[in-house]
Amino acid sequence: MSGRLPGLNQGKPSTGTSLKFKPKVVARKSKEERDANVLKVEEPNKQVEKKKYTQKPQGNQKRQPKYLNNTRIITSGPLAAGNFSGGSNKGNNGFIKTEGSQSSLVQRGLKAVSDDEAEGSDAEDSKAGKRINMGKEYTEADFKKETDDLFDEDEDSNTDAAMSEETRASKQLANLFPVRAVRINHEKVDSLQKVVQESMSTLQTREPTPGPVKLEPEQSDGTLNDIVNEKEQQLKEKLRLLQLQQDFQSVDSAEALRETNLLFEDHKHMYKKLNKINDVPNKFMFFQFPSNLPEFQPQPPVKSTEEDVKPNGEAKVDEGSEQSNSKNSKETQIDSPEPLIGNVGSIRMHRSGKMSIKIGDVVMDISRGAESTFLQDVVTLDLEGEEAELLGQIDGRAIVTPHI
Amino acid sequence: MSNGLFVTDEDGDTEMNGNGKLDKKLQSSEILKEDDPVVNEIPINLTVGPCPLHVLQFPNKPKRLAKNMDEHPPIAGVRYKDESSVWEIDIPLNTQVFFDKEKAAESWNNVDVQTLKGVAVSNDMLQYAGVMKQGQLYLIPVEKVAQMRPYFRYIDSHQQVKKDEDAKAKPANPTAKKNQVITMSVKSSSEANQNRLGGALLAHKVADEEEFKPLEWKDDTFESFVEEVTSEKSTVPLKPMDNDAVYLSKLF
Repeated sequence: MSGRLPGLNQGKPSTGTSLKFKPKVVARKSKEERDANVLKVEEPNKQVEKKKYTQKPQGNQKRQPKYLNNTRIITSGPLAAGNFSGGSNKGNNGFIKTEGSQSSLVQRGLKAVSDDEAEGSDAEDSKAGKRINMGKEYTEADFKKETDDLFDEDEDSNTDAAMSEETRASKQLANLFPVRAVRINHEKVDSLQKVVQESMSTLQTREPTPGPVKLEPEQSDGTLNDIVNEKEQQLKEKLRLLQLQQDFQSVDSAEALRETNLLFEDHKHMYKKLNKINDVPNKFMFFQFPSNLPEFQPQPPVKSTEEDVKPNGEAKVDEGSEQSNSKNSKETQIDSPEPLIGNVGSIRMHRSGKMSIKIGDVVMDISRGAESTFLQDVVTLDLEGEEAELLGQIDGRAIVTPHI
Repeated sequence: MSNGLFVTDEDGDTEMNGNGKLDKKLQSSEILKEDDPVVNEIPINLTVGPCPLHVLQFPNKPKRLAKNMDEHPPIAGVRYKDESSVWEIDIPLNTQVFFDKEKAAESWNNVDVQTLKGVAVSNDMLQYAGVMKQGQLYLIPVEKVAQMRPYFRYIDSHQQVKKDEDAKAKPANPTAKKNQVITMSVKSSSEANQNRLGGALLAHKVADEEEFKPLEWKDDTFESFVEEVTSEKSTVPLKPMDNDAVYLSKLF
């Protein structure tokens, strides 16, 4: 007892004999005895369970996999489970339902639709047939490919113009099936973040350097000119760097290169598409311009052609309107500056694959807008004639921004 | 690319010698021109259609329907409210499959159309629909864009009927009387402050009070429309008044 707390060893009884574990040996019961026990207890239970199972579809394949035990699988909504397709040959086939109604019409329609989707991209997929996309998950690359394929399919539309009435009906039927928003699996987010972090860190090391320079002018006011010159040089340096990176204000040159490649790809795509919808009926491309366009001179020759063109049609109305125009010509110009009609510029394809747009004397940037997965109709609204005319669908979107 | 870079450097140098201080913007645009010659051009012609253009978006219809006009969903009726710019479109339902006729007949007044409704919205930026014809791009201004979403009017009207019936069923109920008193007071206050209705509420009110104007739906007028839009006068080049700098200064 030296003032210490008793340790484990000290607390031990000093008898010297340690405890030992001696398993109790139980004699095994004879087989008859065991059988008797089992029969008594479990027989009724077993029967009940059997009944349950017979109601369910046979075989264990349709039951939940083991790793999903105790988890609730949500098949819709934002927290929906991803892909756990059972026997699909490819990972991106998603959660695809193969059953459906027994109607053969439905089945055929589904097959037709799934074939449509698989067209061009994967020939193997179409073999599987009878499928609906129930929340397919795309990787970014796949998605891009598929959207591209969507437009490539257009070429085939002539061939299935001779489609029989029956298949058309079945296709329309299949279109009744639910559509899910396309989900894109962003795998690259992690790597992207890393890149961003890197570029951020280089930015940080770059920025503090002008710090001490700033401090000096406060101490000595006489050298103001020098400081101005110095700053100017710094600015010029920065501008030069920016120019080298071709308008992308990224620090990483590899990133800038990737960016330019993407841009070129987009431009090529848009150019292709513009050519594709050339002289094709019912196809429009949506253009977004800045809220103001460069101004143009309203040309007198334009008006003369206007007069030349119009009299063929409704002469009386035109005369009246022209008279009113001549009367209030100034007012109408002020009132409605919008009806700008004429050639204002051009979309230009450069040798490098870059695209630019020239409106008047102003060169602007053009970029590819986000594609939509849903239908967009162009409709003209004729309220006087009480008509709505469906003109066609929008296919593709371009965004024009001023080049700064 | 590397060759191009060298070329631009030289150009920059010569300009430096000529002008002393150089305009950066001017230099960059010049680099663009000389480094990267234009290979191909698509002329842009601004035109105006005979009537305003609207874009109707159908979030519940897949884009592949656009592949073939025959597969475009048929339309049974179109209505439009001019002042509040509300579109309503009836799309006939396929009553052969996935359709409960008895239920429709029982409580929903034999509904056999899907009604899509959307408010057309204009935008600050300029929106155009572009048509390509003979290698030229014709831009027609898009006035408004509407998102057409399913609108279950038959359910709403059914519920309204139910409510009315309930109200008629127990007129002697004292609690109902109390309720009425409360609604009266609300009404009077709203009348007093009617001017305060703003934003969405006002838009709703305007839309509710306006009558739908039934329109006729046509889908074979594309050719004549394009004919009209791509008239000769739209290809006459216009003289620009602004140069780069002036335009940019106008933007900000």
